Amino acid sequence: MSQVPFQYSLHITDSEGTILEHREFLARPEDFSNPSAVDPRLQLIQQLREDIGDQGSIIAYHASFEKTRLVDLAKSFPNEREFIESLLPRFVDLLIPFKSGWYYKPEMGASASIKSVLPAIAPEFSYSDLEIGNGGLASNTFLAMIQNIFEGDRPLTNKNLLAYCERDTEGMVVIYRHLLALVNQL
Amino acid sequence: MIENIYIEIKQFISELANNENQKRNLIRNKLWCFKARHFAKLQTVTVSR
Repeated sequence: MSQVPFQYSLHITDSEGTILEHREFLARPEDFSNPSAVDPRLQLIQQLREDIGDQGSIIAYHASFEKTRLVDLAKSFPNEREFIESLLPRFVDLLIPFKSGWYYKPEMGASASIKSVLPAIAPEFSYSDLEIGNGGLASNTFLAMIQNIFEGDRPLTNKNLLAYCERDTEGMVVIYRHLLALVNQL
Repeated sequence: MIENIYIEIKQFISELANNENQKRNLIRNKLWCFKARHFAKLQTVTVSR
């Protein structure tokens, strides 16, 4: 079994956490089974190169997962290895303050998961308006599309997948701003 | 102690800045001044090899 990246969301902010840009990528499911298509993973890498630039922190929640996926990609595409490896030192893990217990609210329920932390610090932030509101559903939906057993509306589902991933990184921005506000209170 | 929590958050933030090698900016603006941040997430699908 392996974890294959097919999508990313990228919110680019300034030093105050103000969102400057949002970039995203979503593979075409059919490209996974079309031998004449450019490998969707390579498409992802190539767009990521354009979107993420060569400087600035890359903030992820549970960064080790993201980094491991990138290392996997570097193994699959040796020509992209230099670019991918240049990303790794830029990672900062937003999980750390919560996993380490540096900041805790009872509403987090002894969990540092982003799905526990986010509603605890921003109750108004929700996934409830989204058709696809969790990673498992996103993954299973896309897998069904790859396997050509998906019977729903594909263009609409693409929008739903993009909306979910965008909400996830937007949530990280919300957490970051919350930490910033705490520090500014000092 | 709530103060300790804040101090540790400050350290975390400082580590962010150090990671960006933007210490001069950090000093100038006290805490927050490094280049644009990228909040990133990869969505994956689990497949059989």
